[in-house]
Amino acid sequence: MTIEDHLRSALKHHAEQVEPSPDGLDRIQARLEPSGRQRPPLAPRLLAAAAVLIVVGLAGVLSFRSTGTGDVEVAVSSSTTNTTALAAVENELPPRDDPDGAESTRPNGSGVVEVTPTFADIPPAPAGVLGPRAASPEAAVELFLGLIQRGTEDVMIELQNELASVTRISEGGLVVDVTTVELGSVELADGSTGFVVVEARSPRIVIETPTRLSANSDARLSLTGQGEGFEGTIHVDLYSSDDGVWLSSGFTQAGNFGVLAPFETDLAVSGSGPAWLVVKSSGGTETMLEPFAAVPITLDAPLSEPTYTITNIPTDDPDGGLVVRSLPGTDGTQVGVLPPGQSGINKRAVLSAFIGDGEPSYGLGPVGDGQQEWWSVWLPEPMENGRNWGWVNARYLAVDGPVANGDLEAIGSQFVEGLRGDDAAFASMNWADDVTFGLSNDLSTTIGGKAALPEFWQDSFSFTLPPDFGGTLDGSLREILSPTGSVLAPETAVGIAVVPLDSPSPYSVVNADLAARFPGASVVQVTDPTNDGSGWRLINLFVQQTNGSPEVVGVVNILWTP
Amino acid sequence: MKGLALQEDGGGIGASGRRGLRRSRAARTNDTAGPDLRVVPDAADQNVNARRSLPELYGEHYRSLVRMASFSVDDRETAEEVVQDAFVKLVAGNYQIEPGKEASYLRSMVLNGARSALRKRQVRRAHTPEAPGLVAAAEEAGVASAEHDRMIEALRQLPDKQASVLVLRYYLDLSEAEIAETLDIARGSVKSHAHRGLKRLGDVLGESLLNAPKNDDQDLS
Repeated sequence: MTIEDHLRSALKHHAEQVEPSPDGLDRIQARLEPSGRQRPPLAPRLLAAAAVLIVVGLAGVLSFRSTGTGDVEVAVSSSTTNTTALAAVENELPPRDDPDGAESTRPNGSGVVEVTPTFADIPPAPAGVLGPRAASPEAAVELFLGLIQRGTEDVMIELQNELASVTRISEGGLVVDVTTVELGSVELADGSTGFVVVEARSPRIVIETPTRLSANSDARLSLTGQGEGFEGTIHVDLYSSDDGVWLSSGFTQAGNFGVLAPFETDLAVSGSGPAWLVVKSSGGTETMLEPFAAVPITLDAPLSEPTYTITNIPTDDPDGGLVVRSLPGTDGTQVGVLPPGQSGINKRAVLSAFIGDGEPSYGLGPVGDGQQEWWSVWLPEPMENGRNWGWVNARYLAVDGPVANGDLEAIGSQFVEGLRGDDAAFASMNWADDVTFGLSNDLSTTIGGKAALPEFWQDSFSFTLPPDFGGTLDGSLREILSPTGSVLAPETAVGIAVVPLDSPSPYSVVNADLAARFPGASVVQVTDPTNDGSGWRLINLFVQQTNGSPEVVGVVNILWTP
Repeated sequence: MKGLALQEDGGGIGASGRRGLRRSRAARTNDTAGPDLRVVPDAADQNVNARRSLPELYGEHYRSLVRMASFSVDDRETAEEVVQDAFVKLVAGNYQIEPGKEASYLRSMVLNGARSALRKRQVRRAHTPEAPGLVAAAEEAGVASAEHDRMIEALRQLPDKQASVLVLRYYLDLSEAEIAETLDIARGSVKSHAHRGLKRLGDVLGESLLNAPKNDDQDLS
């Protein structure tokens, strides 16, 4: 009996024990009734909540006025409304789109503000506030929360559901667990009025430093405060105020649930501009929104070193270059395209974001199998849209400048070692322990990432690595390995040479194309004169320094004669 | 598109490959119309009448979805709530869903919802005594074998995508293409998740119980 059989049997057995109640349809339909759209009574949540939203009205505590130059003057009054009597807050709310202040502030009438924050939809926020400008207080809260809790689609939907509660600020009832959010209004140069979140506080998360609107000019942003969370874990995120782009991330330890304890950490930061520092703890309550606190700060940090070059993109790429996105992963909105070979790119976000199979997950560790690493980058020149930042797939970035010869020789030697007794294998790293490899004499289809696709190989095979396989599946040779085989005989001499990228080739290699595709790359040429010309092979390894160490970014099997 | 990974080059992930679950701008800016009980409230959609009604969808999928959710959350009530949430969102959510894709959408929502519920539950359970769940109840009743329970528990320990692929494949008997659509991943990734998931189950459960997973590709098509 195979594991598949066991699994199928277990699932069937387990499922048969679950018999849904007969009133499921009634319950669904009841929730869809107009009166059923309201969330459960707020009273228990009010009682359970440790804090309430603080709403600052148009005529109230905070106001912002444009100077006409894009800057915003911020006026802070001496008193802040802080009350658990949410009905009293109602009277202080700014005017809404609907002068009657009725349900129409909810676009679909269901209690959920139908706004999905996207890069393109969000107007820039005035400096010194949190979150983008929005047409209503509810939308401002939603946009802000949507940005700082961005994630997969289901998370966004959950968030929207919770934001149905957030919208109830305006009708006398809203609890976002223990989070306190202040809203202010802002009048912009065009005379329009919008609303922004200016601060978020929580008794469970207290940010002591940096203080509101403080400036940081160091490469590290020191952070202190007190907090509590699940297993004491506190998450720290930094976002650009320009558009909410995630700049940096980290975590630290504070108190476990119910025990407020100090925390202290720092974040690596790069570049300048207004930013939001957001500190979140893990959940533990019924709400999907995790307790968080946030303060606006200003960054004036130096740009990080080294700079990077775009590599491994063919000159005839249909996109015209490397796509820059608003978020890590291909779900992010395309905000620009960088031409192949552009250099001088700074890694802006210290956070590395890893995208798996369609579902983003973010972390700080090494890139795992099937994942990609995305960087937020700062570009030397603005793109067409005037912005000079965004997210790119890190596999297409290499450190500016050549790789040291010693490193090249080491990589060449490592590769040759792998070839000894083996086939020339260029592996797909989709699976950790399974490999697709093969050989091809079609130069145009065997370079870069395409080499990992079996359909581009003249002969390709899939197999599972033997348990004693000693090769490297990732790291410096993440796209190359050498499974057992016998195409390249180990007994024959194998030459290794570092060659100029644009050197003439005796093997009709279109090195000009390769030079364009791997700008600035160093080339290690591996030759196998086994059959003295009748069956020789020549492989060019294109080496660049990417994330920390030199690695092979492209492999070209220049010629293979079966 | 340079933002794509190897498996994406293989065809599947990316904006164009998504199932059309995103809210349309028109839907998001609809200021007046509340949701009705049709699956797709967009009255301008000429296909709207071709879509199945809520009762029809309920009759066809509710039970299997509840059971599917129960693989992640370990009590029926929560599983039902997750599934009911999915139906409510489907009807009231103003999503543009291609005709015939409602089931795929529901499965996706249930998998996501169950995962979220499980996360919240795990946090809550860190602070409250654990309530007896299905597994415990089954054990008490002497219904489930320990072997099955171990398998389900091992399944719950898998990464989300791996567990989802295995459930869709071995409980719902979906094809590789259907699984890819439901989870919005490339078909190649379905295979890889299945392979890894099975392998990990084998590792966890041990050779004494199970035969080792086959080394060749898992043919899910």
